[in-house]
This record gives sequence, C-alpha cells and structure tokens, in this order.
Amino acid sequence: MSDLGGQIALITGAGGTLGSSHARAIAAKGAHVIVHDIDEGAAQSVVENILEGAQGSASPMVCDITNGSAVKAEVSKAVNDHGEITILINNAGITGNNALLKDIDEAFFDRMFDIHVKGAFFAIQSVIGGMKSVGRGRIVNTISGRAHSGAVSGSHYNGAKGAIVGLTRALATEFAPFGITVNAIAPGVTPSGMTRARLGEDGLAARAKQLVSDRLPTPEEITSGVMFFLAEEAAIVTGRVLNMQQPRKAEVV
Amino acid sequence: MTSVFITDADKPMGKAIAKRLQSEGYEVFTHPANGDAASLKEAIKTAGAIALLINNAEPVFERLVFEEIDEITFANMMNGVARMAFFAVQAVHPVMTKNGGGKIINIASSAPVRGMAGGAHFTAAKGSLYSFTRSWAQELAPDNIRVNLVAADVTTGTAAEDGGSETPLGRPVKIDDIVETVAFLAGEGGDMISGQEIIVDGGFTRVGF
Ligand SMILES: NC(=O)c1ccc[n+]([C@@H]2O[C@H](COP(=O)([O-])OP(=O)(O)OC[C@H]3O[C@@H](n4cnc5c(N)ncnc54)[C@H](O)[C@@H]3O)[C@@H](O)[C@H]2O)c1
Repeated sequence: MSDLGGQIALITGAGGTLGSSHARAIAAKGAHVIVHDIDEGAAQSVVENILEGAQGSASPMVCDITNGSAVKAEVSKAVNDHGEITILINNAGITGNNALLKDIDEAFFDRMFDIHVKGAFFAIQSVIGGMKSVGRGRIVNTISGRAHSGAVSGSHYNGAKGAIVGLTRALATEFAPFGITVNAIAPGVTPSGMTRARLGEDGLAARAKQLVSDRLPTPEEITSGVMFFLAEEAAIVTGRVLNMQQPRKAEVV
Repeated sequence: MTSVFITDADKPMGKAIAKRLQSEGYEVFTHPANGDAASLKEAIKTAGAIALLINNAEPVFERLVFEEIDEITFANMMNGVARMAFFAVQAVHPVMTKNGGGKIINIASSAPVRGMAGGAHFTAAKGSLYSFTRSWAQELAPDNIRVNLVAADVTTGTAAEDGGSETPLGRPVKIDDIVETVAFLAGEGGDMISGQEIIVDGGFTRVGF
C-alpha cells in the first residue's frame, strides 16, 4: 500500500473505536492526522497514543460535527497550521439504538440526520476548496451494511446512512474532474463504543455466531477498507461502497 | 371509502397520481413538502382510513455546485424529502395496523444509483428513501404493510437532464409511466412485493452506471 507522506488527513469522530483505528493506520503511513471528535479527552488520548508510539504525527480538533460554522473555522485553523487537507474520513456517528419507528421522536431523528448526513456534507464542504486547489483528494464516508440490507429497527440510522450513499455517488460524479475520489465503507457490526452500547457483550457474541466466520471484525480489519481507497493505486475507484458486512450462515449469497 | 395520502400532491406528478387513484375510488388527502412533522401528523389523523401512503414530497430543486449549497438549502431538501417521509410513515403505521394492513410507496429518483453532479443535496435526500424502504419493509411486514420505492425520472434529476432524453427505449419517461407503476404496486399486483425498488427510466440507469 502506498505511502501517504506529506498528506494531511482529517478523521471525524476519531476519538472512537473505528476512527482511532483509521487514525493510527493513516499516521503510520506518514500522513499528518487531525484527530477530530466532540469528546476532547478521547481526541487527545488518540493523538497522544500516536505521538508516544512515534508512529507519526497528529493533532486534535474538537467541535460538534453538526455545527457547520465551527467545523469550517476549525478546518481553516488546521489548514493554517499544517497545510491543505487531502484526505477526509467522515466517521463520526451515533447509534440508532435499535429504536422502533413508533419510538423515534423528532429530536432523535434530527440528531441522527444532523450528525451523519449534515455532518458529512459540511465537513466535505470545509475541505473541498483545498482539495481542488491541490488537485487531489480522497474522501471516504462511513455508511453501514444496514443501508443496503435494511433492518427491523433503527430506520432513522439506516435512512441517514442511505442518504450518505446518495451523497457519495453524487459527489464522485461532481469531483472526478478535480482528481478527487469519493467512496464509502459499509462496516458490519464491529465491537466499538457504539455497538457495545446497542447490543452489549452478550449481543455482540450472539451476532458473531450468526456469521460465516464465527467472529466479528477487529477495527483494524475495517480500517483496511479505508486504506484501500486511500492508496495511489485506487485513483480510478470512485462512487463505490465497499460492503464489509459479513455473510450470515443462513444466507445463500 | 378508502383513503390515499399523497404528500405534495399539488405538483404535476402528485396530481397525476391523485387523479388516477381517484378514478379507482380512493379519496385523496395531501400535505405540502414543508418538513413540518406536527401538521403532517395532524393531516394524517384527519384523513381517516388510509390504505395507501405515497411519499411524493419533493421541494423545488435547483442544480447547484456543491460549494454553493448552504445550510438552509440543504435543510429544506432533507426535511422536505426524508423528514416528511419518515414522519408520514410513523403517523400512518398505527392507522394501517388498525385496518389490517396497507401499502407505502416512496417516490425517489435514480440519482442515488447513478450519481449526479450538481445535485448533492437532492441525491442525499433521495438516497435516504432507498434505505428507509428496505428497513420499513422489514419492520412493518408483521403489520401487513408493504413498502416499495419507485424512482421517477420525469422532472428533477432525470436522465433527460443528463443527456439521456434518448433513453435506451428511445423516448423520455413520462408522468404516465410513473402513474402506471404506482397503480400496479397499489393494486393486487403489488400484494406480495415489499422492500423493492423500481427505477422507471427507460433502461437509462443500467447503461454504464
Ligand atoms: N462499529 C460498528 O459495528 C459499525 C458498523 C457500521 C457503521 N459504523 C459507523 O462507523 C462510525 C464509527 O463508529 P464506531 O463504531 O467507531 O463508534 P464509536 O462510538 O466508538 O465512535 C463514534 C465517535 O463519533 C463521535 N461523535 C459522536 N457524535 C459526534 C458529534 N456530534 N460531533 C463530533 N463527533 C461525534 C463520538 O464521540 C465517538 O468518538 C460511525 O459512523 C458508525 O455509524 C459502525
């Protein structure tokens, strides 16, 4: 996999499980990583972890991803300090908590769409000028296997992820002339802050038993999907979703 | 009399669907695409025995370079499409359950499947409908409710706008083509179809996307 030396990467929600794994891997490939999260302590500890291991260079960014003007202000500060951002991983998210349709109130619906869709939309807007000026960029969005498969619950979460699929396809078309690719990964259930809250340890273990592999992925295995899209060799891959949901034992395909 | 609730039925597509369903004996109720969940729920309450919900709401759409889509334009589109559909389904769910079942048809576009420069907000909003459809089909099946999606490439986000007025079938898609597909799903032909997407585009989306 090619070197990312000289590049600046912004990873939203990188204080969490998957985001911190992406951050470590991208820093290890030589990019400067901006570790964004709403949780300052979480962002700081991921930065320290990268710096301590001398595994690359990193700095924190703290703001609510739903606050578009804060995101723009923080990004321009970071660009001043480090240079144009050429890699953006939209990863910040919250769980749909297996909520049933009847129980999802307007506040929960709006929070879900604001964090996932509005958050990704305006994070991209805050970096796109820089990517266009440099003439390259890699944007990787995070959806979920649930956007494709649906589920018996959490339809606000699943719908928000479906919106990001649409966004990914639209922007891939729009940004292709500028050397910018836009793709998405669709992880299946991976033990993380979010999935522990939703399923608990027992629920996670039960989920593992349903899968052909008999186990859940590690965050690093999900990160491998992100790293594929960042590789120089993947320059022509755009508008695609890498579905990393594992087949279930009963599935035919 | 059975009711059909069609969001945003005052525009050409909604009007044509309404007219067809009226001719089949439905009483038509509607609500504008303004994202106001409270008044939408109220309108659904007064509509009575809704057997069919058509999520047709689509705010006026203007193609914009991505950087020029501001927060208000983005919010209007997301609220008018995704929020309207979500809270319409939430409100009709108990009505349909009480009446032994029903059908929901989400009107989308092929844009989330084939991509669309200058339509990031529109494509995101319509993209939510694909995943909503797949989810609600599962969640609401035990209540005998079918949920499907019809991608209508007639007005906004059309193949025609992207140089595809020549669809593989040789003519643009017409509103009547959508009306027929909706009527099919609403009728007995749609009784065992749920969680599906029908893209009515004259074959355009299959060409190289
Ligand atoms: N873990 C899985 O099984 C799984 C599966 C499919 C998709 N995903 C997606 O992967 C992404 C990462 O999730 P994770 O599993 O690592 O969960 P996580 O809870 O460990 O991490 C999510 C991070 O996002 C941050 N965040 C939440 N709201 C924010 C806001 N308003 N502003 C800024 N940051 C905010 C949280 O503080 C947290 O650090 C999410 O988008 C999630 O939907 C996860």
